Amino acid sequence: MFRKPAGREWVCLGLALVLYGSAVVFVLARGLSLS
Amino acid sequence: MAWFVYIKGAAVLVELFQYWVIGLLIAAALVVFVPWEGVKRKMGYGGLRSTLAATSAGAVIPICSCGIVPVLAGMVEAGIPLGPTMAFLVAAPMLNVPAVFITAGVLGWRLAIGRIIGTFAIALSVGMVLSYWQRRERLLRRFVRLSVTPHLPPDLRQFGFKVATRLAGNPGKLSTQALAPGQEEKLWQLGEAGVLDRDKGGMWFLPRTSRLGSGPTAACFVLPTGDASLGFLHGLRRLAETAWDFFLQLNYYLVLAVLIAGAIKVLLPTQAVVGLVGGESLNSVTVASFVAVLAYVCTYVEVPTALALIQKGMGGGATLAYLLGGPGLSLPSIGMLSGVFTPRVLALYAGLSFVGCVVAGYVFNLF
Repeated sequence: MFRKPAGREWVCLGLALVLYGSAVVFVLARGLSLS
Repeated sequence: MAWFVYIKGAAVLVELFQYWVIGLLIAAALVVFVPWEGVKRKMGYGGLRSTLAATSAGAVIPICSCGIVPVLAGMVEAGIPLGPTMAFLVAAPMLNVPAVFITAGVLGWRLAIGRIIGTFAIALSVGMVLSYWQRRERLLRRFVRLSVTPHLPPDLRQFGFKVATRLAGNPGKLSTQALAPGQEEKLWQLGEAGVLDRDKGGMWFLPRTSRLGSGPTAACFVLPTGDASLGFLHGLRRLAETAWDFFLQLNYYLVLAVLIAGAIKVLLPTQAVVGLVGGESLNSVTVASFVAVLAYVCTYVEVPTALALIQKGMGGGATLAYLLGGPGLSLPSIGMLSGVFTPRVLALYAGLSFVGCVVAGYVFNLF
């Protein structure tokens, strides 16, 4: 069974996802504008 | 300003996430598949031989300072003594087989050999000092293996670790008042999980422990394992679960490290540094080590950046200090390590490595 995140872990997971997601968006946006 | 830090941090996260995931998987594999009891019994507090073994293992394995943190968490959880763990921590990012060839190819064999000798010298001295320190501190703990169900929440597991460490010594049985005043409910939860037991007199004790040693070469650790013999598929499943567990536990430090790295990239202009690392003085070596610690340099990135700095006039010793300190020691990775080690151990590690880099650079200049 995979453990469910608890308390602070949810917040950190969310933050990491937001950071990663926005980075991917930046990369995509730059790639599109360059081509 | 904050926006730039955020963007740079996101860029760093993309760069290191792959190593992070690899590190998590290695850590989980270490915890699940390696027979730690045997390893630990051989290592004891970690003398010269086990420190040398850990250093050599670190020197061969290509792992970056960002990917090493989960691996360390696994080693600490498995109860490997501090000295070899730290030697591994120092050696793994500073040196690996591909990096030696890249260094030799781009910067010449002199620096590559300097890098090998420097890494071994620093890792061995850090490992030996910590082994000595741990032995002197008399962290005399019994070697107790607890069987904990994997579903036990981490805070309860930590509490169990604390309680078990106390119970493992004499007299082996303690009342609630003596063991954990006011936390009877948690004790009962551990009792339900099968970690603790209670006799008729209301005294708590460890029911299913395997005492593998009782001398001063022992330490207490909690393994989240129920059974020793795992089938391959079952093992893989456990590996995924353990990796996920580490991921959740260390995420906070990942985010922290990424934001620190972003802030440094914004605040530390490379141009300002270049003027300070020229020549062969002790001063330039110190500055190069300092820059290497501040800048977030992943393994393999250090060679091209060092080349750029050499072309701007960086001296040989300063280059070596940069090559050792850049991937080995960095503020973000220290931030991440704060989740695994106590501040005192961390300060000792960072201080010794920094001094080691400066000395290595200075000695290199003498030849």
